[in-house]
Amino acid sequence: MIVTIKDKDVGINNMTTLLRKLSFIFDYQNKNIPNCEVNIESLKLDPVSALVIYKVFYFAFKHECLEFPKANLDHIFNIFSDYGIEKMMKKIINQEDADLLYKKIKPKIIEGFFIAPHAINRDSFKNKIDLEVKYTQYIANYYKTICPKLVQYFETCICEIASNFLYHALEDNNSILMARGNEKMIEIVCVDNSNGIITSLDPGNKDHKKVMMKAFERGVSSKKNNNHCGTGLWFIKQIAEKLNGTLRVYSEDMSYICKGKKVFVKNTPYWKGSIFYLKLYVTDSTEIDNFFNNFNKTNDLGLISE
Amino acid sequence: MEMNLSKYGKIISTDDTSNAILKDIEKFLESNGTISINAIGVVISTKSARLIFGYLYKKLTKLDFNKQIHFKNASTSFMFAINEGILTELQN
Repeated sequence: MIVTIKDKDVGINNMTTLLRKLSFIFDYQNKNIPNCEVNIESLKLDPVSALVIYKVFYFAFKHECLEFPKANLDHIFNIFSDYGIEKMMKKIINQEDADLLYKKIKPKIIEGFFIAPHAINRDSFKNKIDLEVKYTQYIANYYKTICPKLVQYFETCICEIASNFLYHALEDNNSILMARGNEKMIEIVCVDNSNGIITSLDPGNKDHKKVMMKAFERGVSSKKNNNHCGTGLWFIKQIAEKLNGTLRVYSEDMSYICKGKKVFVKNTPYWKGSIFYLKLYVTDSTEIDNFFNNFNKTNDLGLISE
Repeated sequence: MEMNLSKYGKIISTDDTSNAILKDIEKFLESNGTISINAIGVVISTKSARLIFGYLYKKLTKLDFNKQIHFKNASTSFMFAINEGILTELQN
């Protein structure tokens, strides 16, 4: 079998195509299937395609899916170097421990965009300096003169996404949170191979579309008895809506796509775990500030904020 | 008395940090009776907000919480997380 990834297969708008080409790997767990070749012909990868392909390689090697697979590695390492994760790819392919490299990934500026990867695992979260100084503060500093009023919302999204992946993806210790942005927008991506949203929220329910839609409602969580609020996805969706953004979540056999106020929930090729993509635009903050200010006033808690 | 929340980090999202903050607020309240939480430049996850302020609101009740705990320099999204954290804790 030869899997070829071309330009038309990558990019956030082609995610279903990419998943269709790669989701076979989840059926090959511990099967050591011979004669498989992966060729990535695409000259550039967007952050979400890069992380999806990265996780497929990781899954294939970790779970011994393929026997002596072939791939155009020089080109793959080259295109992954844009995101600073080529050395980790090499380690994974050579089946070496990449844990130390996870601690060393750091943001950089390339072709007018900042690219900021960050490891999502217990160690990186325990080390607050890593998350704050190397990561969130880097992004906050980048936007503080461009859109100072929006920085809190960008940081909130990173905080909620990272927290969600950390606490819901307990058996996947090798995920990466990736942010890319310029003066007009920011994209935040995270991909994992843990339990997906359907399995976490309502594993017995056969109506996956209904479960997926419910996951984005306010107050819905699989871990509500464990101090979670079930607000994270709803919160991020509101921020995306108010900043003319896009939120795309692919999990197991479903996708949830929110563009402005429109929502599309569809069946998609299977992905073990979740793929999270958020794009927010730098825009006027009046609408989003008003929305959350009003929201805070509509309850009876009576909190005092000066 | 004022507690500068940023000394615990600009991003508050882990259980360890949340528990440390909760412990310190309770100590502050025991010795001073009131506390002003200065949240300048701080982002908090809804989970941490529930752990710290949801717990305190339930323990102190509305009247005493609002008499004893005030927020200062908090962003809109910070206050949203606090409101949401408390509301969720009260429902459970």
